[in-house]
Amino acid sequence: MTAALPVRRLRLAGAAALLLIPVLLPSACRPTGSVDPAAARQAASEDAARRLGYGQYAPYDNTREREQFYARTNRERAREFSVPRLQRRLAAAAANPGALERAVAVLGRWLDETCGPEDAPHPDAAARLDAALAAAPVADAARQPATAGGAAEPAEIVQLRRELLEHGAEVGWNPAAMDSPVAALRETLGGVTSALQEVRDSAAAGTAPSPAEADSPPGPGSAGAPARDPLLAAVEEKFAGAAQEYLTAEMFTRATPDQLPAELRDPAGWTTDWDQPEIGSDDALKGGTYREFILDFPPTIRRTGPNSNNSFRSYHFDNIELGCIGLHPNTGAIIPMLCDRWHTTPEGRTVFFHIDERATWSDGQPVVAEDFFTQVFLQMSPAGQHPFGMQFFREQYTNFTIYDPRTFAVTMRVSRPVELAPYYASLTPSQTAFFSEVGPDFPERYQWRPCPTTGAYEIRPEDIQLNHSITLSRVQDWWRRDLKYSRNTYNADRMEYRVVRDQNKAWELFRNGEFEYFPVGLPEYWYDKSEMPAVFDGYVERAVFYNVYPRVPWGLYLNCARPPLDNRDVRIGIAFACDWEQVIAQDFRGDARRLPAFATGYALIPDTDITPRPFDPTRAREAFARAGYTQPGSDGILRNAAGQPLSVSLTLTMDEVRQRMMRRIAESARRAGLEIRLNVLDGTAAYREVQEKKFQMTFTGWGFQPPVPDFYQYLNSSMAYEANGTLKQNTNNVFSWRDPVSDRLTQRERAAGSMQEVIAVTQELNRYMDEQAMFIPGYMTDFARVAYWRWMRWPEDFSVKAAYIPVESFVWWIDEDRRHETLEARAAGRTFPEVLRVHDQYRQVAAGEPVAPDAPLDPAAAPSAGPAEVPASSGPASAASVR
Amino acid sequence: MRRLLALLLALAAVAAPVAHGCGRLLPSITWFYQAGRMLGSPEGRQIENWGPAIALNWVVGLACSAAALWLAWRVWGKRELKLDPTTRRRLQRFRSIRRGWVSLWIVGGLVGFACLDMLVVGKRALAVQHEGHWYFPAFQRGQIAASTFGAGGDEEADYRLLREEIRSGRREGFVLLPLIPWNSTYDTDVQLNRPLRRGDDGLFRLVGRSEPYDGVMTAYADDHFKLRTREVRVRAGRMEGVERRFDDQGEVLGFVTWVHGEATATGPGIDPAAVPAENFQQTKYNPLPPSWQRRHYLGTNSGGWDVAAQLYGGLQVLLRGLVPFLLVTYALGIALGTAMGYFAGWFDLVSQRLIEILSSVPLLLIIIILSSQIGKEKMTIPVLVGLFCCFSWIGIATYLRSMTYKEKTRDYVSAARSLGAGTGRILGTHILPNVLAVLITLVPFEIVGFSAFLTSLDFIGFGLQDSYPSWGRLLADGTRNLASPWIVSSVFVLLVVVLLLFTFIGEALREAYDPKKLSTYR
Repeated sequence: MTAALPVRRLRLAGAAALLLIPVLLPSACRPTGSVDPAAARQAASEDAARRLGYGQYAPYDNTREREQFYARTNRERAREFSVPRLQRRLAAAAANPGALERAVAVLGRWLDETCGPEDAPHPDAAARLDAALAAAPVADAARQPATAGGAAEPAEIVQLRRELLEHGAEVGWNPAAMDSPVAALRETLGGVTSALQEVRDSAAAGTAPSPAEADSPPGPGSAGAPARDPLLAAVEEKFAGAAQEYLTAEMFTRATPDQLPAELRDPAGWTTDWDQPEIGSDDALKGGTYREFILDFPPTIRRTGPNSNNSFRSYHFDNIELGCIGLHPNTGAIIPMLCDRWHTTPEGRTVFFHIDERATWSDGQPVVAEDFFTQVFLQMSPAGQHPFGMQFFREQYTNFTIYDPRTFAVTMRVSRPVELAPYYASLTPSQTAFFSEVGPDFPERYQWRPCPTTGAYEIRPEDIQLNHSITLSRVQDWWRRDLKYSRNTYNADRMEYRVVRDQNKAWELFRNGEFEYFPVGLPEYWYDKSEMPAVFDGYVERAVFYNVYPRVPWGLYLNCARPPLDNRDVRIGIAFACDWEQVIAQDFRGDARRLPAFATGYALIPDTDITPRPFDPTRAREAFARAGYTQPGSDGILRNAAGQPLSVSLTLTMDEVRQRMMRRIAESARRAGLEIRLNVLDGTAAYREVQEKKFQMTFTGWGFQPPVPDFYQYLNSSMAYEANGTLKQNTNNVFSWRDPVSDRLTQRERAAGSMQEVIAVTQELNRYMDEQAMFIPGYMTDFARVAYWRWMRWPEDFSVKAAYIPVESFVWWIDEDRRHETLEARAAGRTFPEVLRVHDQYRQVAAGEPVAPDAPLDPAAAPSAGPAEVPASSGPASAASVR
Repeated sequence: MRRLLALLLALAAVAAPVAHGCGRLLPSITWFYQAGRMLGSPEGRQIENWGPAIALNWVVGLACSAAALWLAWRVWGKRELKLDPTTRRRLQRFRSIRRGWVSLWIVGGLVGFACLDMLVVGKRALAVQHEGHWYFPAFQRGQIAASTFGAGGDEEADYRLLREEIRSGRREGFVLLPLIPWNSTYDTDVQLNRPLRRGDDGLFRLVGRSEPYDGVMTAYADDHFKLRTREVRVRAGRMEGVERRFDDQGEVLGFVTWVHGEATATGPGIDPAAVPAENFQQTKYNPLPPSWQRRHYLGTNSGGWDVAAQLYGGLQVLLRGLVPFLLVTYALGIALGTAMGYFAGWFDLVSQRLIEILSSVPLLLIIIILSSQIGKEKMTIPVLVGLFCCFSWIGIATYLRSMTYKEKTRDYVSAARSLGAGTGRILGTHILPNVLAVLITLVPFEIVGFSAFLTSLDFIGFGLQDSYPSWGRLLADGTRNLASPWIVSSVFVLLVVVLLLFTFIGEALREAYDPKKLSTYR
């Protein structure tokens, strides 16, 4: 043993020497003297390129592929386009005597056209259809009087449908898919049939056609306008939406400048807005490094394709990249961003954009209209591997037209309020040259390749430290740097995002001054952890900032497909049985407010005047009694006549704060004779249970984005049930809500053409939800609380109105001199006055002026509790958000 | 003494079915008549009217009663315990190890204390006298509506409030509450308010304290401390920083800034002197520190539940889980272990493979996955005990297998066999008593393992559903709120003490059963 020891030592020394060789050699070989910084950056960049494997892919050029994609999409659209044309002709034809005959003739011609030489695998399909149509006793059937029951479809329609389905299948269409021409046609024919039937029925009954339900909005050509042909009116109404569907047959159009509408040939005919207030502060300094933590390293920095929708995406893309236009964060007005002018057609479907002549990519190339085509290509083509984008673009847009390298137009599928249409049409470009290598290996090839940006920050390859950190660097000659709305914003030179996988550890690092900023919304952070010497000594400052942002609708979501929640009285009883007041008073220490309605806090929509149901066991018991639950059992839970207890399961995630609140809710419900069983699940499992609609109630909140809500996803029956009556999975209608009233309202919402209409229908839907109580509103918070080191500086008014998280406004700056001052003071034991800033200029009720920013507090004072807290909701809302 | 015990046992065995039949509850005894709850609450069914549950209640309850009666009979009838010399020596040796013997007594005391049940912990009063009538809410199965006592509606009466009202003279009558008048779960307390007073020197102090106050103080518009009017920070007795003013809806009206007790900046429409600076309160939110006044002897946890009640409830849950756990584990372990050792051959081979498979399964992970997928709602004691028992028999079976292997080759087994004894007799009356020593010494350690298992599972958040009080959850809450040391310290101390007691007993037992008599335990 003793003899072996020296040998082992020698071995160890040898191993250590071997290990040192690679470390020592490069340093020995490195030339002495100063290094050129540009050359050093170049070297680092090349090193990073090797590390991230940029060079391992063979050159590739997808120019031809892109063109093919555009052409193919155009051909598909052209086929679709025939349908509405046909529908309009059908509608016109159906209004005249002998309508059906002509309609069917038109149909035949249409089939003839679309099964033309290019795509028809069965050239005789049209001929066979013609034969089938000829054989059908069309003329007689059309004049055939309706029977008293009115249930039977005219025979020719039945026949026609059958034939169409057969032939449709033969030429390769899928009749089941909704966007296939045959399915659309089937709908059309169904519409004609029912319209005809209605007219015949009412003629038989001797009354004028009137709206089916008393509370339905009067449609055009209703009983009040006897001069119009009722049949025509009915058909028109039926097709009003469909006929508007398409303006252009193509999706991608390359036009010439002289094809622009006449009024747009002159810049004066466009809209622009340089008159809104500035966003940044004149005090801002450029420079410095900002550091923040992220809980996970992103799986990729691509913007599309697999895993691109990760939590880091907003840091390098959503918050940085410019769209065509932007919303002014304080006034809500549309302001120029990438495009300096725009124009919306009167019906609010097409928006023309003109790209700012000064706009360049971070690599110096100009931004051109083609870059927007490339963006659509990335989103929609199979090469982009982005199913969400594929569906979204197909549903939202019908045409993109380039007029010249700086001018293009976007057409949406439905009309939008003219005021907001540019916002909906706004796109973010992708540089064509950079993405010309998108091919079969797109995800791997672009995994860690930073793309050129139009925004203020770029990622340099050498700043991607896998699994450790990503740093964003300011584009030094950013084209918008000195332009209005952008100057004095995006001030820090570098923004470093470091991975810290545990929030407690991140807090310790923040305390140590290794991060500039920390959100202290959670009660334990605001009340306990941030009451620390660094705050009392003024090194770390704290602020409360009231913002205006769609409030996360925290509350109980009731799955009305599961008994007993299908009973409105039970739902109302549950609403009365939940003591949210106590949750707010205890868990939020009085600083949250009761959420009045589902859609609250939209800057453009006044909040609906609703008082949510308070905690009231007596009224809850009354409601339960109406639903038949009258007898208390030995455990105090009410029973109905069949002996079934009033017991509901509540699905929630393991989050401790949420569990605490729901225990309180369950305890209060017990007082009203309702048992709430807490079903605590792992986040993914809870999400799955909700998405599969297997839950009874769930406590969650959806994250909404301005400017307007989208109730359709939450209340339309098409989002709740499949055609065969089973529950539809993976939709946001977690209420499993199906009601003609809400269907009509949500359709009105989707088709709203003006802000007045949006406001009216939003408020109506809010009231409707309150009335039906499928959503029990919980609480909301209208402020963010943050802690930051004193060298992180904010403008006088702190942040912008529409900032969900204050730091995302990028109006702050890093003062490096102050950093040194602070660190030196800390080392020397000198202190500054304690700072707590409260900014309530955007508070929505009875708001006063911002009071005394930088109010000094006695630095020698002992720790004490702070004024408020925001549990849970200060972070992004639950994972249940679709966006 | 022995006869008295027997008499008590017999009494309990008789009283339980009678009380259960009449819808009354007796401390711990009637618990044996609630086995039906194990079946869980079937969807849309009322458990107390559901046939199988009622049947199970009675079957298990009566079986327990019968067992108790039989035991009482045996204890009553025997004049003296007849023990063979070896056992007698072992018992003597056990008693001579003071630490183990004292621990056993303490554990016995703890078990007895835990059996007192609603006499010690619960929000229902033991006795209420109201308008000449006596009520015993804690001892009956149903609830008594608040309206019975002339307050509120159909919800259950709040006996703590009733007692307060009687004490303050607002109402006549008498209320006797349990020692800890809080339920161990789902009984949340609200914030605690302590009045502040401004001294002649203008400094704020807590009433009854001499040093100036530090912290946040709140003024309320009502007696129930629900509607705030002002909230301001106080440093060294003087208002400092941003004060918030509230309107009569509880909305923030505006702000006033204070520097060393002077208002320096005021929001529009706010008069710093408009509201008198009286009636300020210090508001303590949960977790509340130990308080005699609220009868939170060990404070509350972050959710506002009483810590002492949870500790007591946790002990009860532990004991109630232990009984079926030990029964099942030992039954399985003994049966399989002796069979493996005795039959050997292919049965042994197959069982050994089964053991190998089972022991390579990570139990904790399985339970975590299961709990997070099926939901905590379904994690009840029977489910958890069942899961744990699937794995816990392995250790016992392994010991017994080797012991049986050894014993079955002994001469006395051959002798019994040649006398014509069957397998059951050989195993039961010849081999088993000879390997009993191992089994008994293992019991305390099995108990420790089970307690640690239950606690750690709750600690990481995957254990029993919320309606069971739990030490593990309390421990987790305490470690998250180290600034409230009463949570973590009380549960930690209790956990350590209980586990230590069982370990001491175990060590003493092992020592007493040690075949090497000369060795000593230090």
